Amino acid sequence: MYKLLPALPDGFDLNDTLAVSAAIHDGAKSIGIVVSAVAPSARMVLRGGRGEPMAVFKKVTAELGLEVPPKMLRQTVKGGEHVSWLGPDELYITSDNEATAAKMVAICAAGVVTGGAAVDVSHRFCGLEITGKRAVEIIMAQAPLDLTEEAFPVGKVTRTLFSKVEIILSRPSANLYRMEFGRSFLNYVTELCGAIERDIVAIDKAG
Amino acid sequence: MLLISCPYCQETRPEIEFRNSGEAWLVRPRDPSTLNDEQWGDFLYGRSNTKGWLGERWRHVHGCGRFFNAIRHTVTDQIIMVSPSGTPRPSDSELQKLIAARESEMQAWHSGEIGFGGSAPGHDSKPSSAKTTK
Ligand SMILES: [Zn+2]
Repeated sequence: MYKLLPALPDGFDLNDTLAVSAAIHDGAKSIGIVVSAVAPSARMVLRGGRGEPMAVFKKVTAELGLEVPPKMLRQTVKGGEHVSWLGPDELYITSDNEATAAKMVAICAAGVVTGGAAVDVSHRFCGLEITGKRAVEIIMAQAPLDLTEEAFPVGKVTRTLFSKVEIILSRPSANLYRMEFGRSFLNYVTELCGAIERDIVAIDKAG
Repeated sequence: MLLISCPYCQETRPEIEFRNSGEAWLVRPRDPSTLNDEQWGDFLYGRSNTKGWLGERWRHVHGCGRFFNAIRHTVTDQIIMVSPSGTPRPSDSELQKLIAARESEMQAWHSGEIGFGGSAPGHDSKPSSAKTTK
């Protein structure tokens, strides 16, 4: 049976890194901002190539029991599995399901996807979920995007920046944002989220 | 900060997501070995260094990752056109039309005919929707 990597590296305490103090962390929770790690997941990048990217997308997602999003910059979600259409020929697929993960790894290990390429990136990405009615304020603090309802509706996904870190930002549901980024940025991103929490709580207090 | 439209994402995004990749529509010599040093050096390093409208390649590096063409004014930083990689350079007359259209749009904007309700000219895919009368 395929074993998923842990969501966060050994010995990494999310709350410890995140919270400037327990009081601030609780304060952020009370106003509707919770930062947590996403479930342990397998991740892959699928490139559709120059020929018929859609045919490659369809074939591979069908093998995984997933669906291609309706258009570019959209994401389909099935439980803890996400298919994100990031560029003309690029899909980013994550799955917290061990059976799907095993298939993903097998496809990548085979090395050849006719017309395209699939690469297992499970070991180098990690993810955070920001939930709550004010979750967007954490994203807004460092992402340069228009995050209004029209510009960033539920189901949207894009690669962008969070401060200096390249992230894949998605919005699986109204009050849930998900960031995926390189593991080496974990400390930086988490501490930054903590600092943003602190600022939001302080500004709220100051009225 | 510039707002740049990506022809692949079909969205206007902040400059920080992009990277300028130099002059566009440079033609790589078909058979480099037939060139003399001066011609090869010119291909490698000779650039037009235009003051005015310049065809450039940009890359949406922190987005879809694609290279594309843009025509930017090197003094005002206005971008009048973007096109997917591989699209030929617009002809001079097409370019003049684009410039004229932008100029009249800018005039309307400065005179207040186009309000701030939408975006500045060139940053709205349907600028007519942002028009309000004074
Ligand atoms: Zn793009």
